Amino acid sequence: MSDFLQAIIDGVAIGSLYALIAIGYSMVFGILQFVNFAHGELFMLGAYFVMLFLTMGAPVWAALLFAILAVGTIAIVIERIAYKPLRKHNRLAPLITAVAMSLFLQNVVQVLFSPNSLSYPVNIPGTIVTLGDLYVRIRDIGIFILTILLAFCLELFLNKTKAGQGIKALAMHSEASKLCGVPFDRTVSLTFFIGALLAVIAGTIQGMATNQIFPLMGVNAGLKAFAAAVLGGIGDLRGAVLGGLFLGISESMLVSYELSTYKDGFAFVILILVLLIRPQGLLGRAQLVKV
Amino acid sequence: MIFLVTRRKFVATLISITSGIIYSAHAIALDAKVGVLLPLTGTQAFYGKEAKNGIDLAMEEINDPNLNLKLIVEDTQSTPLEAAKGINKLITSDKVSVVIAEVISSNAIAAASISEKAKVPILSPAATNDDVTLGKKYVFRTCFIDSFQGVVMANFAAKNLNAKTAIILEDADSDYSKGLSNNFLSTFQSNGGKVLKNLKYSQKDTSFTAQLGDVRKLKPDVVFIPGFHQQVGVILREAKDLQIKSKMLGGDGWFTPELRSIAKGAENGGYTSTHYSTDSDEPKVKAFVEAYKKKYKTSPSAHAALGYDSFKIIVESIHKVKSSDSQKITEALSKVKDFPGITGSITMDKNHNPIKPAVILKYVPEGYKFITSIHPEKY
Repeated sequence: MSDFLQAIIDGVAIGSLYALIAIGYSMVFGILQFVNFAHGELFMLGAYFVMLFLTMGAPVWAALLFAILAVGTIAIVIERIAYKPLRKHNRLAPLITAVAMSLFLQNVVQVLFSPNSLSYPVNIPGTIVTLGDLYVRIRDIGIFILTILLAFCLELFLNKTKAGQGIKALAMHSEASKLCGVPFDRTVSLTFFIGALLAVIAGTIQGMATNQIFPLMGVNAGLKAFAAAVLGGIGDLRGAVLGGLFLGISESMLVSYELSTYKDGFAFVILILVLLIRPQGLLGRAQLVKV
Repeated sequence: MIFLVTRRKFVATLISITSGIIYSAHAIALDAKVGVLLPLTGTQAFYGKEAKNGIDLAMEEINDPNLNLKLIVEDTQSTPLEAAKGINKLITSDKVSVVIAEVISSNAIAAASISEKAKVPILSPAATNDDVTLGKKYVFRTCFIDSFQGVVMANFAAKNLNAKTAIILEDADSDYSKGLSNNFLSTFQSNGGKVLKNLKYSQKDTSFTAQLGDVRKLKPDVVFIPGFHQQVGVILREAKDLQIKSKMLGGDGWFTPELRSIAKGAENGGYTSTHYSTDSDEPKVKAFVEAYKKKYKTSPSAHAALGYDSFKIIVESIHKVKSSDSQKITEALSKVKDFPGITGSITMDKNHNPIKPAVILKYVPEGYKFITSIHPEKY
């Protein structure tokens, strides 16, 4: 029993980071009906920018703020130059540019910062508290609370502010919302910015916790977050959080039952099963499409 | 005017012809193309770059007007697929005589099978997996092999550290790690020790708490982690956070400055087997370390020294046969005997593996502490 509980505790920590990235995936999909495969690279860029500002001597909060602004701007620019011109084409075209964009960003970072892993000057200590046989890192509790808090704030933002309602309206029906005066381009940019914000926070947490960042760190994180988003019902925020946590916990279960070799495949097994059995995901609603 | 121009042309031609004759009479310069196939980008780029630095340093030191060496470098991006593509390009389109290929075992194995078919010799600086050279005529290496390294560490744990129980944390994505852990397992057991668990992790993992939870619970005397620094650094840090008291052991994948920068002190007290020790008293090692520090402003890792040795061995072989013919170089490589390398005296055995000692170092706050050097005859 204690093994089981421990696996849940470990999984929540990993899952929280998946969830933060998955939210960005889900939001962009909700609005544009397209999977931004370069989203994992925003997570990686975030980790690198924070690292850069920290080595320049900025305090942690300022480094994080600057990094969010920088990566947020990059996300908006990417959308404008790589996705927007293809918006009128079929859905495959922006998907392919997204893959290209992700490769491009990985390689730019490899050229600028070397392909080696770098370590952070500031770390989050991994002090643990024990509860009988069980133990939990204070850091992980913090990450979990932060994830829930951010998801809650986002929900609040979407429901209570005009800009947030614009995003919701757009997700519901893009043509109708345009007619009702929702500024389309600005709302799309805002969505990309929010996605980038969450990805930067996740990247920074991972960088400071594991003390190593490398140009390809976004690949795995991105895939897992994608699987989490689909699992939860892509386009649904709470679904993304739930999917992330579920994926994290099931992965840590596989490890503790000595099946860790299958761990990375598991995300894709889940992906396939969800698409076969419940394509709309755990929390997603089935949509009727009029043709 | 016309006459003048032609006369000038005539003189110029005459000069060029005579100088050509003089030059060729002076020395029959030997041209040889040496291919270099290393992971220069991707997850294991660190090892490739270090080896490349060593090769470049050795290249600079070669001062022979009769030998015109050309390096052709290919990047494997740390994947077996790109390694196979790279070796194909080097052999078919660049027509190299000999290749220094890959420091990562999985990629070296991919390249080796192709070079074997093409009958072009390759020399691996640091691929330690046993299968790299096994049964191959054209594949050589400069480093000791995993079966040796795993055995050395298991014996060290059982005899020097008096360990009775062990847990292995294996990198499931690497042939290198598998080789070390298998040999550690069998040797540790034959020494009367007990391996409580053989846990696996992936190179993509960023947190190892789930695996370390078992270590924390079972409290083995030693934990053997035959992995690469990127993951090992994080594992060591997390183990310290979880207050795990077991002694940590690893292979040569640990022996990089990056491990220290990731682990941030958690590596102290750990043991690693490696190819040489930078604070050796031998004059040739000292000279190498100094020259390397001067050129790259950092101290050389084991991979840098192995790259350096590999290139020197190839140059010596080309010298010996005075030819850039792949077949002849292969024969020379198989006859390398008592080559005075930075990483020890190198003699190729019948399986094309060098017979040379492994060094065991302990991580201490001020650097490494030399513990012991183990010769193949004694293991």
